Amino acid sequence: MAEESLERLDQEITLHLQQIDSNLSYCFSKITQDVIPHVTKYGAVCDKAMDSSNWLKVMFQHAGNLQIDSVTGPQQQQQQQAPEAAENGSLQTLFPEKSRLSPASSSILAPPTAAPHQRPAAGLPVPDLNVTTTTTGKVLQLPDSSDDELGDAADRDPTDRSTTAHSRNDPDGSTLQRQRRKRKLSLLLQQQFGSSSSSVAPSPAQIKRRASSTIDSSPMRKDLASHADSTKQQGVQPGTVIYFPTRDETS
Amino acid sequence: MENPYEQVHQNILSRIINNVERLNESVVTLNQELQHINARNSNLEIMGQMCENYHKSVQFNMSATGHKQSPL
Repeated sequence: MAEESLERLDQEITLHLQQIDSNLSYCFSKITQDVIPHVTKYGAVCDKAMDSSNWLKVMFQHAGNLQIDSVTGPQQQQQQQAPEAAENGSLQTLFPEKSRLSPASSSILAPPTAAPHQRPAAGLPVPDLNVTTTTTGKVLQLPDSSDDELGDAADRDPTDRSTTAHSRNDPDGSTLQRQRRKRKLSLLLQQQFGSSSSSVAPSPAQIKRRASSTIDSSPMRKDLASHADSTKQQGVQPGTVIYFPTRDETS
Repeated sequence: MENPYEQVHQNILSRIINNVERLNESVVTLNQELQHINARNSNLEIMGQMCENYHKSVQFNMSATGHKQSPL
């Protein structure tokens, strides 16, 4: 009696194991033959859609003065850069896997008065290691200013000395340096919060900056700015009425 | 006494193990493919968001300035 039940149990176990085996093999064949080819096809379709909407990317790039790199790079780079982007809270972190602003565009957005302060700060070799190389280089400057506050004049570059030479030779150099630091910080804050708001209506400070920064830009940008100058000036100020040429023709 | 079913069970179990390994590999492949597609589609999604925001702002500006017209 016990042997019979034991044999029956063994047979049942064998049956169940065979069922499990057949289910697993069915699952494997389903995934390899049905799911993966379709997913690959879907990826190809998505690539096509991305290619055909590439002009939109170009348009928004030129509209927002940013650099959107395509995501065709390897997957590992994206995974490496994704946590960096998660740290940055600005609006431009919508594009995590990209270097967002080219140096040319950042120099366009930068106010011209801040340029002599930023160049020696960017020339410092050592603090760049501590700084996370973020989007626009705006964050790069803040630790440099803190390094300046540490007060080691010997650690500075000659380029930095050239800018701070008059303040260090003066007996009242500390106050001048402090004023300069305050000015730099205010400029950086202005730049950071002014240029990061690409979708929001820009502040009046940014309007001035854009209008003045077209002088320093490349000739292509100059032409563009000269062509679209009047519309830019009108569109930027909040509360002004935008006149479109169609309405002028109809009315 | 040797159990006659033991050998059969071991054979089936080894087959199951092989099947699970192959299944795992294929699932890993599928996952990689899906991750790749996701990473590429994120760009597309951002593009869609930008278009939507652009549409919203255009609608708002047109209605605010009174130039909005009914669709043809």
